[in-house]
Amino acid sequence: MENDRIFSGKKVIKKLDFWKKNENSLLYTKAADNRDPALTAALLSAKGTCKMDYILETRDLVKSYRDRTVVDHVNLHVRRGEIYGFVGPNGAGKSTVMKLVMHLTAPDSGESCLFGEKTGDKNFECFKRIGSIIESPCFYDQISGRENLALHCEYMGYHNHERIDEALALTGLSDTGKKTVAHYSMGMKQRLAIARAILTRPELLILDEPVNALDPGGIREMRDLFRRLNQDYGVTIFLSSHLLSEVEQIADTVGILQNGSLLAETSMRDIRKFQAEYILLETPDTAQASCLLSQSLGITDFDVISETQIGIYDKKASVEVISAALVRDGVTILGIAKNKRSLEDYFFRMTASRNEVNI
Amino acid sequence: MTHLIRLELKKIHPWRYLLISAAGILCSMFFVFVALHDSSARTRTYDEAFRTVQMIFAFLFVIFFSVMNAAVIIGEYNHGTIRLMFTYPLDKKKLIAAKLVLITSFMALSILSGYLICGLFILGLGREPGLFARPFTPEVITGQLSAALMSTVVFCCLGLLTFAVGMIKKSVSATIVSAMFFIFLRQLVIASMPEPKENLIIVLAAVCITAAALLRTFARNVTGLD
Repeated sequence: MENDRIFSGKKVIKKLDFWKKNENSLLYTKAADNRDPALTAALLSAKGTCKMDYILETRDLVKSYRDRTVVDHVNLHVRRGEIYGFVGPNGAGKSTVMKLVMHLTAPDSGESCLFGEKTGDKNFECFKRIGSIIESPCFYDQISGRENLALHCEYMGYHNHERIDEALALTGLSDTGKKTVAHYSMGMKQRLAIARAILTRPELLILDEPVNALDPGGIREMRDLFRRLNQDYGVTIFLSSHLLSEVEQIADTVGILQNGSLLAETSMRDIRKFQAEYILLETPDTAQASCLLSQSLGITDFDVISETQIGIYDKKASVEVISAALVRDGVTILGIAKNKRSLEDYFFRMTASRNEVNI
Repeated sequence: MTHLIRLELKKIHPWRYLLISAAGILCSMFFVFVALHDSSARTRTYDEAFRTVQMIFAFLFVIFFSVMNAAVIIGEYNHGTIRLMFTYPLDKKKLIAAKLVLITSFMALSILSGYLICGLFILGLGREPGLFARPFTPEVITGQLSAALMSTVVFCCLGLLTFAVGMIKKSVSATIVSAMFFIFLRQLVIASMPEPKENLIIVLAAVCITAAALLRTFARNVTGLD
């Protein structure tokens, strides 16, 4: 009844036509912000059942090859305007998830949505708004980088060829001339792949290991480029990487994938809370030190990290008090210092807890 | 579709394939010339000369068709560039269909041009006194014209079937080996006919089998990248 009212309203139909013609994402955002609830409902009815809170969303994605499940009920949620870091060890299934999102391979079950629309063989219009690198970058080797980008523009239906120079300059490939891609180094190919992904000013970038094969300088340049695209142009970036330090520096949200399962989807703000300082105690006698910490000093928030290491997370604990107590009780101290936990620690904590559950 | 075909043309360097096609036609002319001037041969007719051309073309163009399928379509799957193509806002099946239309049109034009050039060459050779047992009559042209058209359709169908076979495992070698198998099969069928050349029944059968194979390929083997 409500929808009937909405669709009969001339104003809404007019707006809907405008959206259909322009695929204007801002209108989407405004509608999703509840400034125009009627329009939101109309858009939802018109474009399928996916929520538009997320620019990219997957629901219970499952993919198996023979008897092995490589993607196991993955539910991803990427918000408009954020940088989403998708991390996991090699073989965790990151690339397969990205292929499923881009509908390069069909899921066994579940679905993925881009811009609120379910992806499928017939739903390819949304790819106009996406730039992507999936797995290793591939080019037509017998033509130059510039010609590859021109061809990309033609296939994307993007006619502003002046952007090619801009994209090449942004990725440091301005002076490659007529050199064919066959003669490019791996790093140059990676840069060209990034140039191709950003060329058509997409709203969403899906980048699978985008800094692979780049030198440290190149990694920093590309990180700055992604940040600028995100901050200045509002480009949403969904990137996968096994370089946790890279993701830590750039991402707003992190998704951790292991053995095809999404272990956690956490904002970097929450991870930073986890990243609070702690005391790392190194001693050959962790058992006695643990006893002393809990019984004499009343500290309970600590972990025995390894045979010689204890992490003490109690905010009230001080290095001086602990070291004095240990010395007094004759516990050998190999080292004691304040430390800060990284995304790597968070990642290993998550994956270790999952392994314990599996065991 | 025409836009997609135009873009494909930009990628495949058509001059390279045109040169190969021209070289193949020249070789066929040379082979016909040698066959007609073989002193050990018995009396020759225009019909035999044209059948020789058909046999050479069956080998030449069906294998060439399969090589083009391997280079232009299956190569994209093997090199990974198809992954890029499938991220474009285009119908995946249409992308592959555009490639197939381009190859088929190119091959059909090459075969027809080859028949025209070789036909004129044979007619030119016919001016040589005593080369053919019977003199040239206009019926020679009309008879060979329909044979050329029918064999062109059959050769294109065989070429398309190599695509269907190659796409099962996205294998270049399967594509080319299947071309040889189909040529052998064609020779076997032709040899069993009272008049050893293509007829309407063979053409219809080839078209139907090819259409079914293509439908199956497009339904099962085109869009998946597993």
